[in-house]
Amino acid sequence: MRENAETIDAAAAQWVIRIDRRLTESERAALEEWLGADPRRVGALARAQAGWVYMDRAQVYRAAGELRESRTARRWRMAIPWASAAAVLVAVATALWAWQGYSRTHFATARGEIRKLNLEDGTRVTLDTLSRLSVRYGSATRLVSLEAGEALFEVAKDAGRPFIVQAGNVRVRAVGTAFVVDRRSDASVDVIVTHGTVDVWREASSPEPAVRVDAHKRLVTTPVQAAQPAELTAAQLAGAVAWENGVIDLNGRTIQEAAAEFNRYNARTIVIRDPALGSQTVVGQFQTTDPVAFVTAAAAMLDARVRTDGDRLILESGPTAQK
Amino acid sequence: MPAISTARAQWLAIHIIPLEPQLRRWLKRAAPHSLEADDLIQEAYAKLAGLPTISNITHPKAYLYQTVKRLILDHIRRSKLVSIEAMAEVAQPAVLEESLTPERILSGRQELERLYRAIARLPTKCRSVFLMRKFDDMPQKAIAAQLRVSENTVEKWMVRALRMILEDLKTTETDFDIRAGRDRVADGAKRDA
Repeated sequence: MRENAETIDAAAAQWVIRIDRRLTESERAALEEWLGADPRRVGALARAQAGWVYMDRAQVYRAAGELRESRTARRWRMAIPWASAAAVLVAVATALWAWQGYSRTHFATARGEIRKLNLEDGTRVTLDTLSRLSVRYGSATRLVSLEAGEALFEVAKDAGRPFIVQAGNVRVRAVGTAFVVDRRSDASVDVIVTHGTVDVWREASSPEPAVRVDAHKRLVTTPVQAAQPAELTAAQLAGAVAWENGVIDLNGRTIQEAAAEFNRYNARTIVIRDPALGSQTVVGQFQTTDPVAFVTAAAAMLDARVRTDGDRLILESGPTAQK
Repeated sequence: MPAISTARAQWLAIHIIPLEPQLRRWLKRAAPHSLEADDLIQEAYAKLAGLPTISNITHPKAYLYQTVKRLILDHIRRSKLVSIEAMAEVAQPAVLEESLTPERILSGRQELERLYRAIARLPTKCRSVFLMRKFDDMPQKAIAAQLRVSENTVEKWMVRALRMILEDLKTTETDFDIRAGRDRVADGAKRDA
């Protein structure tokens, strides 16, 4: 088991005081042995010795009579909580922004755009980058077709009119709930439920029973089979809807997958020259609009470098440019 | 002194010890959570102590941060699953420099006040032996004789004094006072973030 920093610091302080009164021969040998076992011990001793020397500065307070008695305690005044004022402003700005783009039947987002829509029944839709959506509200159903990309639906309750999302031949029905439908891949439709319950089925020549998906679960439907819903951890769930706030959550994805994710949002594309560089898995969060921050970090991590070529950010082997 | 020379200890005392609070704040924000600030700082001191010469270091602060960043990168490269987000912070020196607002850098006077308070907070016995040793320049043996206690006891009190002061040197005045009201610690962390 690894010795913790505190234990090392305690021993180092002890050594400094012993050194101050002079070590015996056997202590000297013991110290050498102690130091040899872990470089952190050398560091801790150096720090403690430096601290010991640093304290000589206190000799300025030679009129130390005061020091010998006193224990000072100063009042700490809390900083004014400006932060809450800022939060209100942000909330208002967001509400105004979300209010725009009302009551159109077709919606599409450009690369990098994440758009919030308020539908007439109070349902809120967040449309991810490069996505297309059409809305048809009738008296018996609320029908939404996701033609491309990914969307988060926060469905207003209306028991008389079920809310149904079409994604290819996959159908997702909700009464009052929040969920993500992702059909970025041609091969599958990904449904992630954040609140409530939805039913998922495929439109096929023969009727198919619906699969019920509860909150915090995910269902991947392929042309072959609608699998069983899989449980998501809180972190996975948060990661799956992070894009709603303009964040890419690299929850254990590889650099290669992460680069593909950034490329969905940005005209500046990340190219990974050497496949070996792309295989490392990472965690972390980045702004969807900041591929440079990501690729710089990746380069630093992999001891690789970034070359800019027009709109391309090329990650390739080679020493990192040290600034 | 064995281990490191007095000259090196002085150099560390003048140039590195005062940077610790800001370095720790930066580590809290920028280093992966799996890495302990205390471990990294010990490793950094080990590197600085082990340098054959320090005469070529013209900017100790930049050198310290560069050393710590290399240590972090080494750790990250060795680990399987890493926070690349933290990496972004480590990879960009410019951001780092901007984050050091003037009030975070202690002036010489503030440093003295900080040390003064650290000494003032020591338990009475620890403070007495510490002041006798450092201010009155008495050897430990003489202190023991005057206080009529064993040399071992003097050693124990001095170790305790040194440990407490080293602990205080990790933080700045602001951090101290927050610690005095422990319930405010979380707010302090938020403000630092």
